[in-house]
Amino acid sequence: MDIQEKIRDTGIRLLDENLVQGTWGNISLRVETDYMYVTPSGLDYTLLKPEDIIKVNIHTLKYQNKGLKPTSEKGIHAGILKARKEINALIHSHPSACSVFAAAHKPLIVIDKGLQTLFNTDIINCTKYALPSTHGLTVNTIRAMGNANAVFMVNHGVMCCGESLEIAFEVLKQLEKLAQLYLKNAFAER
Amino acid sequence: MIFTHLRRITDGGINPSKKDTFAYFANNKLFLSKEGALRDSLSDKDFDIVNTETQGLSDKQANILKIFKEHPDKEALLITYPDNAKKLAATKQSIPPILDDMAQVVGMSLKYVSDNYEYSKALKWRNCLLLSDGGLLAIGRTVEEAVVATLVAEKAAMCYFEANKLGGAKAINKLRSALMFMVYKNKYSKENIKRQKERII
Repeated sequence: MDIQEKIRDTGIRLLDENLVQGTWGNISLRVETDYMYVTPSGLDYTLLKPEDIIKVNIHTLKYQNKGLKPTSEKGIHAGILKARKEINALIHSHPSACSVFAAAHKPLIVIDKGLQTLFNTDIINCTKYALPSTHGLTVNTIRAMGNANAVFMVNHGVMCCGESLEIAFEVLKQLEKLAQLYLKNAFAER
Repeated sequence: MIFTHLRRITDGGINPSKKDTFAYFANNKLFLSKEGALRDSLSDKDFDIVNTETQGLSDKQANILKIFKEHPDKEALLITYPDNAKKLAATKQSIPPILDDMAQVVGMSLKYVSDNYEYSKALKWRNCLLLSDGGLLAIGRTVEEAVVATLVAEKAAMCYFEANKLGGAKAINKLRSALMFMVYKNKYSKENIKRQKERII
């Protein structure tokens, strides 16, 4: 399957599995060493055509202008791809249970060994707050994520990554399940 | 196509209610769903075309028409009854923006409004309101935008309650929220709205 088509289909899958609402969230996939394909800014996945997915240089953030702009969070995607050679795909989304942790500014401890391996960490950290699409959010996200495969972006959502798009999707899906399970079994703090 | 978008509300976990209302305003015509029509099985015959020029509109028709007249960029209005929004409305609380997507699409707050409140005025800085009967009112420049506003508002209400288990949700400051609302409305969503409108045509 064509890379752009694969990214578009992953976006549709996010919607179908209720892991995002509307236009929010973005996806990237590394191609060659210095480039990534990313979803465009502000477009609902159901409206995306494969050719809308934009190729961006991860060092300069330059892209071929076809009328659409790449996601305004391209700096975060590029920064993580530059810093971590083993990572090839990133998914940023706003699923419900993860959003609860993001709204409460609370990290999530991962006890299960299998999930620790998948997430490459035993704790899902929270970033510091910064407005969307700003350099501050890029810096805060890269810093808080470290070598983990997921991080909560406070008051915002979650960023997940993996060696492939399939793995990044699995990280997101399992993290949402874990957050749901934690909330189901948690009691309200007094 | 419009009916397909409405089904996304159910896919997003919000069950249909016989009290749901769907209104669409185009070319000075108001299409209003009939009482008791179920959202997931709506068809053209479930809508009344309201003559907006005549006297004698019901309170509900007049209120909805006023919203469209005072917000000419909007063409869709939904009233749904999601669980968390209902729970929040029962407490008569408004909630501050606790998520960026909420600030962008729902607005400055998810505001509770009493029966005689000036809805149109409250919708100046927001796209959603909590109604006294437990309903969630959402408006949008397209049906899809109103659907997304509904889903994001219900998610925000859910997060607000669930975050209590983690010590409570932290609000985003008002100035930042206002900025996000304006940037989303005037810049970020433009291409999306253009394509949504093309798809309906």
